[in-house]
This record gives sequence, structure tokens and C-alpha cells, in this order.
Amino acid sequence: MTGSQNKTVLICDDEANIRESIRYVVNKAGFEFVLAIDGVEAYDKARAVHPDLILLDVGMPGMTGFEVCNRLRADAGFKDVKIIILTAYGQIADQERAAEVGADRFMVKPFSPRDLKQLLCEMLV
Amino acid sequence: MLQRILPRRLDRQVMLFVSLLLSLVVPFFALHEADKSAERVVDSTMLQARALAENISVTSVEHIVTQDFASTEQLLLRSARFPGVEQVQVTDINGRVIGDVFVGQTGEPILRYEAQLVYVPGEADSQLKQSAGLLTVWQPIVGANAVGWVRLSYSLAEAESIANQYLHDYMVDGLIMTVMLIALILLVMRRPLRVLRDAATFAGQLKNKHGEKIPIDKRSVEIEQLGTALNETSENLFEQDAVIKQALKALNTQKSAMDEHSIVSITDVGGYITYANQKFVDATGFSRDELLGKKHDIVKSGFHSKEFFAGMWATISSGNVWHGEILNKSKHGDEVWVNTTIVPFMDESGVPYEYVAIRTDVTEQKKVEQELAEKARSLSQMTDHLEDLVRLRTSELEQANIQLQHLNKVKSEFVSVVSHELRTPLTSIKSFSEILHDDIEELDIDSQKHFLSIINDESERLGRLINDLLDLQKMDSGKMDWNNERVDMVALLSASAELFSKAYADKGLQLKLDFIDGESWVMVDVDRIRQLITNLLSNALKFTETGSVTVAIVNNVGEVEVSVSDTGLGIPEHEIANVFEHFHQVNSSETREIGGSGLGLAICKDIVEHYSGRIWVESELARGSRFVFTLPLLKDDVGCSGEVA
Repeated sequence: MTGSQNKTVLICDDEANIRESIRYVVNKAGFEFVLAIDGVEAYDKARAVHPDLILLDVGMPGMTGFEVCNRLRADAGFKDVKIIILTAYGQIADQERAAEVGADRFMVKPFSPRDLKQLLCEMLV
Repeated sequence: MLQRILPRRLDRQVMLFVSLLLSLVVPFFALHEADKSAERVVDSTMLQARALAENISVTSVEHIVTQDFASTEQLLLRSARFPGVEQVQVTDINGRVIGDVFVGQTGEPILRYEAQLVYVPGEADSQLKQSAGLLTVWQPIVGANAVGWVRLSYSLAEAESIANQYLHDYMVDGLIMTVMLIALILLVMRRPLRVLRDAATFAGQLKNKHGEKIPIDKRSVEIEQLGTALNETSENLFEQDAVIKQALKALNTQKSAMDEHSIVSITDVGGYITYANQKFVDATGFSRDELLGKKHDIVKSGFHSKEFFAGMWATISSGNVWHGEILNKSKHGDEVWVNTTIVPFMDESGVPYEYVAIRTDVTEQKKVEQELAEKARSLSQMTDHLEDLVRLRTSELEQANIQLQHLNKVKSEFVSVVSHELRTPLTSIKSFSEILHDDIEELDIDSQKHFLSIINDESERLGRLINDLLDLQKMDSGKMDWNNERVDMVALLSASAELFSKAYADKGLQLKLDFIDGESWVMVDVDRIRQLITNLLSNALKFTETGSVTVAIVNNVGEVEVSVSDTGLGIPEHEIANVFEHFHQVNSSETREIGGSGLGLAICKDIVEHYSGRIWVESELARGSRFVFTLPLLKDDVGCSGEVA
């Protein structure tokens, strides 16, 4: 379960248990991972680490996932970074908002680790 | 003066006039005639006397010559027998009386024998002398030459008597003639005078006898003209009568028609009432006697200004018709509105001498108008009020709508937030249960336990969340069962704090109790108050990393005050107002990390407010927060609740 593919995923969620479950999935899929506990940290770490894919929660204190996504997409260096919005807000408006800010995928909580793993592999391999 | 003396009747005037005229003319005429007759008598007497004297003269010549004095005496005695002779004398040329006879008292001639000398005329011609009713004739006696004189005294009494007789006769004749003349005049004048009198009578009675005719007397042009004129006048008057009667009838009809309809009065230029019809009397309540002669302002109501009446008087006194509505007051104080027309009546010089006022009672109309105006006003007010109400309601509805929209938004947000909050623990549960399911063989026992404990914690969290939601829903909808009982807050607080002592100790925090010595009895649902205290203590525990949490209780007037003070993070000032709202948590990664339903303080607020208490927070960032709530003390126990700390 080592990161043979050498790809890095930034995991951002303010819920510790959810962060842990995602970390488990990413790790199991064989990718490197970086953790962030809120939006501000996610933005900073994204710029520092330049991950291949970012998993963003939406409802976070400080900066929401949408804001993080929006700001990263505004930076030319983050145009091609894969971004998945992973949120418990599952309404159509939220999905539209995700598309607006330039997210590649929109995934609703609770999610299936199985599906998430498959999605990560699809997007990164 | 003359008119008083003169008789008034024309015939008598004529008679008087003729009588006066004749009584002047007739005596004058008679005297004149009598005088002329008397002259003639005297002349004839003179002739007679002269003739006698001549005769004596002629006869006596011879006697004188012959000196036959007896014959002379005889001659004189004969001559003296002639009527009227008073005395007859014969003298010689020197005046010596030769014969002298005079007529005595008895009328017999008496011969006088007295030798005397008389004066004789110087001339030799016969002479006539008249004096004192006596005529004296001197007749010379002439033979071959003058020899003597005859002196004859002749009484004129007879002639005067004759003249008087003439005068008497003339007077009598004149009188008779006068009477006859008067009678004749009266006879001739009788008819015309009667006709004239009749005409006068007719003319006098003409005012009552228009159209009647007087017979025309055609014997006199003037009288015929008079009669014709009178008849024409009578006829004209009759015709005018008819016209006037017709006009009067029409006028009367109009007047009675007007009197039936209108209130009519007439005033003089001074404003004094000279006429008032029955309607005026009825309308004002005054009797006619009370009105006549009074100033018209007897019915003044005082409603109108002085200027109003000044304007009216200015109009009518300058000869113009005035129209207007006047409010009058009756004798009994009733107010009467009259629509009034005042017409000035003017004399030939164009100056008004009276004013005729015609009025119509419009009190009812006015009342209706006023009522209508009143209704219109109140309708307008009602409309305004209604509009106000509509505006108010609209604004209320707008407010309600805004509130509803807000509520709807809140509800949508709430649903969204609730679903988010529910999904969050569910996400962990789902994830780890799937991981455990798929990878159970690969996972070591510690990992399995760890994942399972996560599942368990999140399940409990989900359960608490659902319970909180249900509690809130029950409280918000009033369906919560409040099992109230007498509770001592000191004891309850003490017991609750005891339950947290281990958790605080585990985190290395000190839990201090600052209680009063005594009791604080309240009437509450123990479970709810315990929930309230637990929420506050668990929040303090969650948000405080170091230091202590102090629970205090004091009795204020009528209420117990409980506070939980921590030395934790504190709450930013702009968040303080929102901490008691649903799902509100201070936005910071730390708070989120600590977790919580976000409903605890909302539930606390609902519980406290249910018991009419208050809950608030005092906080300072990095220094800590102090949550305080009050509950009303049971009144009976206020006195025995002990000392206030």
C-alpha cells in the first residue's frame, strides 16, 4: 500500500473522523496524502505541496471549500489540479456552485469509501 | 271769507247774484227816472206859474192905470185859488204893494192890507227864483210903459209830492220787475241747473257707479258735452274697472299662490316689518301683531356675520335684487334656513321705499345637505381609516410576508443545516462500517476497535443530535411535557456538578462551586433544568483548555441566578448575540474540532424562557465566558430561602 504512483492527495475536512476515513481510503489506494483541518490550512498546504488532487469539504470555519477552490483556480498554477468537492450539503444549488468554482467532481456525504477509491484511481492514473 | 257767506248751491248763487244786481240797479233806475219826472213836474209848474203871472200882469195893467184896486184885489183872490199858489202880490214900479193875497192855513186866499215896500228886480224882464220848495216869479206889468210888478210865490210841494209819487211808483215797479226777473231767470235756469246738479251728483257717485249713464240734455251744448264726457268717463271707468278687477284677481291669485308657497314679508327702508303673510307667521312663531312695526332682525339667529347683512343691505338699498340663504331663529328658538330673494320697490326717483322678501324654507334640505356632508365626511374618514387600515394591513402583510420569507429561508437553511449535521456523523459511520466490512481481514484488532469506537461515538452523536432536535421541536411547537415540581436549585446544581467532576478532572480543569448557604426553591421540570446545566457545563468543558470553571448560585429578589464561568476561548463580540441560535457555533476550527450539535444553547434558551427566566452570556476573547441564567423563585419560599450569598 505504498504510494508507488507517487501522487499526492490533499485531504481537507474539519471533522477528524471523516478526515481519518478519507486518509484510510487515499492511503489504501496507494497515494501520498497531506491533511488540512480547515479551509485556510488547505489553501496554504495546497500552495506549499502542490498536490495532484484535492479533496475539499465545504462547511468549514474560516474559509469554505468553495472559496478555497475558487482561489486556487484563480492561480494559473492550479488550473490542472484535480479538485473533488466532498460535502454533506447535497443540494443541486451546492452542486452548481461547485461547478462554478471550478471543481472537477462533486461527491455527497456520506460517501462509499469503495466509490471514492475508484474515483481517485480514475482521476489520478 | 266770501266762500263762507256764499251759498254752495249754484241756483242759489245765481239767485243771490241776480237779487243783488237788481237791488242795486232797480233803485238807481227808479231814482233816476223819478228825478227826471220831478224835473218835468217843476218845469211844468214854472210854466204854469209864469203863465199865471203873465195873465195877472196883463189883466192888472188897466186896473193900475185906472187905479181900480178893487178889481186888482178880485183878480188876485181868483188867482190865489190856483193850486200851488202861496202868495200873489202886485206892486207899482217902485215896489209899493198894491194888492197882496196869501193862502192861509185853511187853503182859502186871504187879502192882506199891509202897506209895505218890497224889493223889486232892477231889470224889467220877468224873473224866476226858486228856493226852499218855493218858486217866486217876478213878472213886470207893462202898459204903455212899465207900471208895476206881479210877484207870485208858488209852492213846489205839490211838484215834489208828485215826484215822490213817481219815485215810489218806480220803486214798486222795479221790485215787481226784480221778482219777476228772478222768477224768470230761475225758470229759465231751472232745467240746466237741475241737469248740472244731476251731473254733479252723478259725478259724485260715479266712483260707485262705473258704467252707468246720465241722460243727455241736448238743449245746451255745454251740458251735452258735459253729459257726454261724464258718460264716456263712466264707460272708461267701467272698462278700467274690469281691467283692474281682472288684474287684481290675477294679482290676488298670484299672491295667494305665492302665500301658499313662500314666506313673504315686506319691510320699509328702515327694516321695519309692514307686512307678513301667514307662512311668515307660522315659520317665525310670532303673531302678526308681534311682527308688524318691528325690525326684521327680530328673527335674526346670530349665525351670520355683520358683513353678511351689510352686503345684503348694500345690494338692496342700491336697488338691486338680493339672493341668498339665511338662517333665521323663530320665537321658540328653532332655527330655520330660508332661501331668500329680496326685491327693492322704487319710487319715480329710483329710491327704494320698501323691500319685499320672498323666502322658501330649506331647513330640511339644509339638514339633508348637512347630513350628506356629515356622511360624506364620515365616509371620507372611514375611507381614510380604511385606507390606513389597508396600509397597516398591507404593511403588516408585507412584514408577515418578509417574516414568512425569512422563516421560509430559515426553515430551508435549517433543513439544509440539519441534514448536513445528520450526514456528518453518518458519514463516519458509513465510511468506517464499509471499511470494516471490506477490509476486516487486513485490519489489525486495534484498528478494528478504533474504527468501531468511531462508529459508536458518531452513532451516539447522531442520537444526541436527534434527541436535541426532537426536544427543540417539542418546545418550539409547545408539545413538550413539563413535569414541574418543587426543586432546590442548590441541590440540583450540586448533583449535576458532581456528575461532571470526573470529566473536568480528566481534562485537568478545576470545577469550582460558589454556592449560597441555603436553598433556592423553584417550580421546574427537573430533567429540563438538568439538561440546561449539563449543556452549560459540557460547553465550558469543551471550550476550556486550561484553568477552571466556576459554578455560582445566588438568590436575587424573586429569582435565583446561576452562572457558569470558564477561563476558555471566549466569544468574539459580534458572535455573542448569535450563540443562542440553532446550529450556531462560533466559526473557528477549534470549535468545530470540539464538535457539538449546535443546538445546546438554543435548547437552554428555550427552557429558561419557558419559565420566564433570562439567559445571557458575558465574554471576552481568550479570557473566558460567563453564561448566566435566572429562574423565578417560588414566592412562598423566598423568605425561608436563606441568606443571599
